[in-house]
Amino acid sequence: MRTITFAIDRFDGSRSWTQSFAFDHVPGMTVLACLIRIRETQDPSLNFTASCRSAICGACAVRVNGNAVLACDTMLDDLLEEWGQDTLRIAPLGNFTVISDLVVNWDEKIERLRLARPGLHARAEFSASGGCRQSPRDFQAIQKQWDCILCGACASECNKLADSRADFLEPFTFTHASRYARDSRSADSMLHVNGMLDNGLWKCVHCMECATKCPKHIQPVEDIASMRGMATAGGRTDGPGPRHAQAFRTDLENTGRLNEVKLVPRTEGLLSAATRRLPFTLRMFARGKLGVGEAIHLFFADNRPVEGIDGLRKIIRQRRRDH
Amino acid sequence: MLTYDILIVGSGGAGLRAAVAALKTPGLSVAVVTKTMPTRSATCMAEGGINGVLDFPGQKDSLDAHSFDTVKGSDYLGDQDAIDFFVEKASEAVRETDFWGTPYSRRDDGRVACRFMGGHQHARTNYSADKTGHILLHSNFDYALKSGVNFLVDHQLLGVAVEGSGDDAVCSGAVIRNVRTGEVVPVRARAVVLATGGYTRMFWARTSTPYIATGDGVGAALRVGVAFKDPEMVQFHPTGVANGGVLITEAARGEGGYLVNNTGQRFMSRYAPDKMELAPRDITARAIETEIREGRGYGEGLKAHVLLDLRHLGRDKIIERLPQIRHVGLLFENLDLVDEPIRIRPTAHYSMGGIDVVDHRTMATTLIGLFAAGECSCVSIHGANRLGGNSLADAMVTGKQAGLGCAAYAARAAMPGESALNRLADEWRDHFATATARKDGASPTELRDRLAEILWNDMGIFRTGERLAAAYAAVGDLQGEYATARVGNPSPVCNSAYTHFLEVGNMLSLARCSLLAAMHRTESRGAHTREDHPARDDANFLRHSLVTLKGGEYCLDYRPVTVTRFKPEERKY
Repeated sequence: MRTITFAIDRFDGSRSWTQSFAFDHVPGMTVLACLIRIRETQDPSLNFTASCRSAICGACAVRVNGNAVLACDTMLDDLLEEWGQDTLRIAPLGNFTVISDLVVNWDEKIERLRLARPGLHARAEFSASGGCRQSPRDFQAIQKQWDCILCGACASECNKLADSRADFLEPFTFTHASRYARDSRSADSMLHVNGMLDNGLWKCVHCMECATKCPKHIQPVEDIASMRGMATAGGRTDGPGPRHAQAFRTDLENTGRLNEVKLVPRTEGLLSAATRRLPFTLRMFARGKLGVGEAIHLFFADNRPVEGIDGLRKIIRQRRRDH
Repeated sequence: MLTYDILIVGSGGAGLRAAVAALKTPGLSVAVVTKTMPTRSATCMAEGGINGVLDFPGQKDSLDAHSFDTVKGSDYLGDQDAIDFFVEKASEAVRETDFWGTPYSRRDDGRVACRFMGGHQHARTNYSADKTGHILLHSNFDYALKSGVNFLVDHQLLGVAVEGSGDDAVCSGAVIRNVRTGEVVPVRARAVVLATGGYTRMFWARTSTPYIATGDGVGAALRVGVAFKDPEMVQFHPTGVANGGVLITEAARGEGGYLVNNTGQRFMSRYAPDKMELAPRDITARAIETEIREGRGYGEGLKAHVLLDLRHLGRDKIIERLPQIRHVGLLFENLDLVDEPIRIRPTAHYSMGGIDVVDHRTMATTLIGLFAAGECSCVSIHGANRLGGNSLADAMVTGKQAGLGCAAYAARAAMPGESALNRLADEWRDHFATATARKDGASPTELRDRLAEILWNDMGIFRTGERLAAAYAAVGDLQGEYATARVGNPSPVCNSAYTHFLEVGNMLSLARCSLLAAMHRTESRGAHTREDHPARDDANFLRHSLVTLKGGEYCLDYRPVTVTRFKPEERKY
């Protein structure tokens, strides 16, 4: 008989340890079914949460070998094949405070979700007694974002959150803001975007982990991008984030190549570039990463336009017209 | 002592809706207690839609028609005054939630899209793809966040406290347990709303409901003398996945799916020739079980099943309209509904019975200050059988009414005393210490599984007096074993074993109530099918069963059904 081992991260409120549970392999089991079997046949003190077992309530997300998955929506056999081993490490979600074993604390996340200003502020022509009107196309435009089940998988692997929770939010919170900001029934899209601007909208590092881990195939990273676009279109172009994006577009339109010497002053301003970044620049000169002459040329002139720049400019102008 | 004006227990559709409604009265403090993160409840699993007749010119549907269908669907056990009120409010609820942000699927002209569901004369089930419950729960949660609702997450209800006695008895709050720390917390409140969901988890091995639907609120109400109304009325949904009972929504049939037996025949032609697969749930569930019993199913014993075939709908329609169902097929049966039929069998799905509510406008119970809403409550709107799409409407309507009702009460009620709360909290502290100290005794999960088997065999789709009586005694024995059962974990920190221990205790007690009422209802009505009494008996049983707990004994009483416009007639489709 083939034996499967779950090495589970345990925590009892003060003590942490890893405990291995071995069980007979039965084909067709989900990770959640395995956890339930362990709790009911081996150790009733093992703590995890589960509710619907059909991938719609979001209660049972855990980490398997460092990757967040929805336990009820993940077949053991697929994991065994993917990892090529019969021992899997099971841990609580990352970027959450752990209560015990695989149980995490949602209080802080719920409070931070309020920053998205969830809830529709409907346009003036709609009323509680008459409801709203919306075209099928406008409904479809927000349908994906509404698939979010608040399982926390996106937050677990978010590299920006791992760096600091102080100046960024859980990716699902951006998705929540986006679904109201982009709703054709909304009176004021910027109500939802502004809260995100103040809480790290421009700080996403595009690691794509949120999009990769979402069991519902939502892409919070795209929701972040679309709200950046809305913020910029709404005139919120201040700050290094928008300037950084603008610098990229300027370079693309001018030459088709990134001018990295101008990127920093354009993003942070000349003063910050000349003072805060000076030691870094000097080190680049010293290590031969950047030639002094080349830097001067790039600063006062620019790259030569790439071949086919006219086509590129046409695309950029077209995109601008579309928005 | 922790004190609120209003304490709401449960954070599903009904609880969240009640909280928002209560907050419309300025100056009241409201808290929602929930044993999980707020969005894990059964509401999110509802797929098909929310009923409500939307008013627009030229349509054939009407509030009267919705009312009649609900009364007929209930097999005349629903209270008609409450149902008239309900259908009117259901219509409002759809527009109201649309206004708050619930994203409904749309028709080309921008109106909310609706579909047919079983037992309805018209298409009035408004939907958002096949995730309507999920969408409604999350838009209610969002609206609760917007309204400033406070949550006490990871807190389990232990008991409701009653201050005073006799006619002076009032609900004074609830004792809850902080699951994270183990702390037993008395919470004083002018009003308590129980919105804890159904009790169908008593059929543990064959139910579509989430693990948390263990009837905690019904159990707590029962312990303070509030009746459990129509407990024998449990709906079996016809189409549970053969492997475990997860639901294939009725929308699969609504969109045109076929039920097929082992001869390849669409057997519903024998049971409901006009409605075919769109017959109400109780009739369809009995049809499937009859096919299995008469040898026209596949497989044997608990593995027996028939097939649900969607292939003729085509890939595009399945992907567009039924994506969640397709996903369930992949997950539990490892097949794609686009290419293959799926094995299905009835599954315990919905609790028509629940906490005895005596005022459908306020959702008040017989205990002053205690209200109930959603699946844990019984008004009765659904009577002996609920129609598809009426559960989400129930959660929204009864939730809102309970919120308004408790707020109106709390605004004029005095803040109750603390003595009963303190006593109850001490009792529960002792209970934890005693129960977790036991090193031997029965395992609660074994008791739970034995309960589920007894109920499936003896209080399932077909019932007899003899088997119900034997089951009533057998579950009594399980309760005896439970009294000395072990928890298996002495730690106060996040002791989910103790959480489940209490859930099993509630389920055993509620099962006793159900069996008692089922045993004495010597007729067949709606979901309650007595093979020894196959006919409906309006002369004796046009009345609600009321089970109460008095001095450890389960007592049965009755109350007449309210009949107004629709005289009982034979229920045929």
